[in-house]
Amino acid sequence: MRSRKNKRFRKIVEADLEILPLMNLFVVLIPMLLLSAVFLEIAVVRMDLPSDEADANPAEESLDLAVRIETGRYVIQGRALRETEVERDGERDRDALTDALRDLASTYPENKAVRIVSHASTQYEEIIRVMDASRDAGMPLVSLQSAGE
Amino acid sequence: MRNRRWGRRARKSGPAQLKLTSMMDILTVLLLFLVKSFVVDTPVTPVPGVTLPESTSKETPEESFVIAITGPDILVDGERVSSVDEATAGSGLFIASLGEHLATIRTHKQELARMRGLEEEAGLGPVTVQGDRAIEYRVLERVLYTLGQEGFSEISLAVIREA
Repeated sequence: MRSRKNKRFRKIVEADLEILPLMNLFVVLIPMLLLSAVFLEIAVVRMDLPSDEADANPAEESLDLAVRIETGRYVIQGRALRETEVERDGERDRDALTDALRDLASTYPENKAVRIVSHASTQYEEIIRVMDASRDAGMPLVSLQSAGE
Repeated sequence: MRNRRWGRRARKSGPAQLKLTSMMDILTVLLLFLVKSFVVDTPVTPVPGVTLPESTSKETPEESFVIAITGPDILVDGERVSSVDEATAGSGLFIASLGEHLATIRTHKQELARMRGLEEEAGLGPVTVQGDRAIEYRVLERVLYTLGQEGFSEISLAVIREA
């Protein structure tokens, strides 16, 4: 009796886990998830176009801040504001622009709008970069304007 | 001697068994990673041929119809409407072919709204613009202007979220 119990016990200890069903599940799940995995996360930049009724002329007292995208530099201008130039070279340019705009945002906290003035050949990426800079500086209302050649 | 040893070994190992533990470890980690990054549905999928610009924006896209500007073409919901060269040819900002297309979409939407019994114009809903990072402002300007003229004023510019 005792010896039988012992034998049974030993049998249980030696038993392997039945992981084959789990493996099957994994093998099916992993390709499915891999296929549907999103490695590039897409976001959006929201922009509202002015309707026809909107006032084309900004109010007299507003700052009317504009960032002009020129070759090799950004020019920040506005009403009653000294023109500021920010160098534009590669990756660091956005930080410099953000800093400059942040300074302005702290001086004029009520101003939330920035006009981005671009030339016809300005690249889309550049415009998005300036939008990022102005949003990071706390001025999320951007509008686009053509510089006119 | 040799024979005995062979025999013992063979008996001991019994039916061959795979060592699956390490593989299970890998699979478990991979599974967890994939489940974590699993997104049920992305309302906006990138259009082939468009390399979106990177941005720090955190806003999530919503379901809408998509205007894609690839290098050479302008597409509305995957259907080619005009080429960029045609669109930028004249001095006017209105892109006629795109405008026509948008007008059709607008009529559809307004009819749908009427059938649902929405009397007041509830807006035409958002539009997502997927522009290649290398397109020029002259194209973007014209597309946005055309959208504005056709009454679409809620514009979302699709970007890739910066890591």
